[in-house]
Amino acid sequence: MNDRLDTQIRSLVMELVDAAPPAPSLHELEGMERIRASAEESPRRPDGSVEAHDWSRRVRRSAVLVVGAAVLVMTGLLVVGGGGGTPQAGKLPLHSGTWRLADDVLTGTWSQYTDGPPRGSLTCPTTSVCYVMSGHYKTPYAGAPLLGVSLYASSDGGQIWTAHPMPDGFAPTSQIACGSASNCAAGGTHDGQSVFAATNDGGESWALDPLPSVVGHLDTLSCPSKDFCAGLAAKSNLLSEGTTDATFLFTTDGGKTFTDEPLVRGDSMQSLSCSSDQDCTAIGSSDHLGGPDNFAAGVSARTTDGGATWSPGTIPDGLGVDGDSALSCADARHCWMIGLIAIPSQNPPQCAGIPIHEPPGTTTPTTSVQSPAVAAVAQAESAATAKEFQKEAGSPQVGCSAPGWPLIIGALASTTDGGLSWTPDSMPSDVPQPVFEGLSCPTDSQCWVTGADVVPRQVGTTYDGGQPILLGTTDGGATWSNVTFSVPTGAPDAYGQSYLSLGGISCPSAGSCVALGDAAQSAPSSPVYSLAAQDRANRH
Amino acid sequence: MVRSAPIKWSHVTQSGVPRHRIEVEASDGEVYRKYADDLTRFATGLVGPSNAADVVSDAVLSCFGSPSWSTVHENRSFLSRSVFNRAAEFHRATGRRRAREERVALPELVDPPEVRPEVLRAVQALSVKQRAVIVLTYWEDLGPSVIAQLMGISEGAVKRHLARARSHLKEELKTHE
Repeated sequence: MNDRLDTQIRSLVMELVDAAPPAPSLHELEGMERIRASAEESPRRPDGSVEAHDWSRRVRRSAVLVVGAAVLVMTGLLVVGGGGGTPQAGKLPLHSGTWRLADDVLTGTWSQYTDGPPRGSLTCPTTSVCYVMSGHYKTPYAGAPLLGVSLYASSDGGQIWTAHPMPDGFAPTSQIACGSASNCAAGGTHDGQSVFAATNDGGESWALDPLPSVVGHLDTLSCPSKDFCAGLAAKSNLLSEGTTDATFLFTTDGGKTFTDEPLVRGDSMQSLSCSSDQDCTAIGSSDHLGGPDNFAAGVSARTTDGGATWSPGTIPDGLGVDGDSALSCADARHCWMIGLIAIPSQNPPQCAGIPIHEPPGTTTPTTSVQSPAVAAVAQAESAATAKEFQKEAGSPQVGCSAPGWPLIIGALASTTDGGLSWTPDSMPSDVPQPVFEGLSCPTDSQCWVTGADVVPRQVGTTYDGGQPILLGTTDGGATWSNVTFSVPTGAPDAYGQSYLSLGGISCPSAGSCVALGDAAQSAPSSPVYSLAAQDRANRH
Repeated sequence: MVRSAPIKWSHVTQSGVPRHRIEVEASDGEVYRKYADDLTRFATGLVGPSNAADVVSDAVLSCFGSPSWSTVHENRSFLSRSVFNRAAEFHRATGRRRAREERVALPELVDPPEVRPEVLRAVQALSVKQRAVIVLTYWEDLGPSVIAQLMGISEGAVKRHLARARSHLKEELKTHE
């Protein structure tokens, strides 16, 4: 028995130790020492930040969700040249006019700045005022300890940012939402208590109001006016992990008091957008459709009386909603959503003959039969993927996925009745396998979405299996166009990822948007992309 | 259930010399290079693969910055003990960490290779000292006297930790059979 136990323990220890990451290189230790020295020199930076560790092995999140196994085929190791982000505090200088959009297929002019705030949630309540709530973490790895949170404010459309530290111990559970140029709020926790953090002076001072203990934490938040904010409240897990039975929690007095209303029974709402204190739309998953485990089934609901009653809506079969889905309503009737659809697995020819095994514990995803409209979008996306793989036939570095497993990719859908019914939007043919990150729709005809696709892109010596995408529509979603950026030679990219995907976007009005590059969580800054009215653009 | 697995990855590696860096002494670099892999595996056994590099970095830099480092003869023991101490601190800090913080971390980076949940559960049932003894016994094949020297504890203590760890694991493994 002891021999058997010893064998079992040895096997267990081997499995654990075999998962050891590469030892930090000496170079990294020196980098770490630099961080330490930097922190000791300026321990009270407004955002609590220090220059982040330059990890030698950093793997970027994939540009496509693949349900099932995937392997990397790489015949060459690409090495990135060094470069330094500038530790930032207080005012952040931006090189206005230095970086320009190379190809603008839509109206307006997109400009690109290189030193924006760190990665975080973005919102612009007006065409000139924007905020980014950013956490600073000990390391770039997921789950790293949060060291502090700051609200970065810009009053010039994203060119200059000022950091305002949020209260010590505050950890956000929602994105930042602003009902006016100076009134913003976020859900979070503070000393174990769920709170509503609010500022009425653009982040210079904060009030933390405890939430009613029975509602749990505030996961997603929408503030259409300075006094009214509403969110989805959940008692247990995070909504992104598939929490069920979220409730509609709102305040009409800037956070002094809260009212909690149930949503549609059996539905698990994941995202919410309110265009007024009466009109809100929510999307999520439903128990009767397989819950959050079904990647390709979603539900929606609409209220026109401030949450007192909810009318269930219908999302076409095969269009899914998960915790990363997003919703943006321009008014009470016109909304867009980021959803998910499944397309058949496809592999480049280089993957032929490579055995791919499913990861332990993997189960076949549940996907619904697709409605004709969704199937048409999926078919077009499959064609776009096949076309891209043809182009990559000679590439030494491709991804292979397990045959027979569906790929779950991003999709867009729109509603003109506040979410009672939805129509999937067709994607441009040059955007294979998109994953969408941010969505902002300022009018009933104009909407913008950010993310990445799977067209390989190299920035400097940083290689990625995807590239940033910024799609826009100005005709209510009938057609979407791809705005492409050309990263200028020599663009600083110390963290390797800033130019390879786009993150949050906020468009307070038609023709006025700010978007952020999707930097690593420890990167001290990220690029800012700005679509400005022509008069402002002319000043750059 | 695996919700997503990457199909395309990017490797972002750093080369060249960072600006304004502080150099580690050449001799310390030699010592580190010699033991880096062992220390990282040891740390992985103590805190898991996701945090091992962090623990090793902290521990090694703490040693190199220590006034007593220049007088240390048993470098490996000293470094191992430092890794062990950092791991113990890590566990205390982790206990206070909130899940919310993980949410706002907005995972951008893929964690190191995964370990089966049952293995993690089994190891999580052990104290840090028990983990250290188990890893050094079953991975490094070290005897109690060497482990005692490495960890800076008595041989008797090593045997007690080993016995308790085996007892815990026996129960854990039984429940998964």
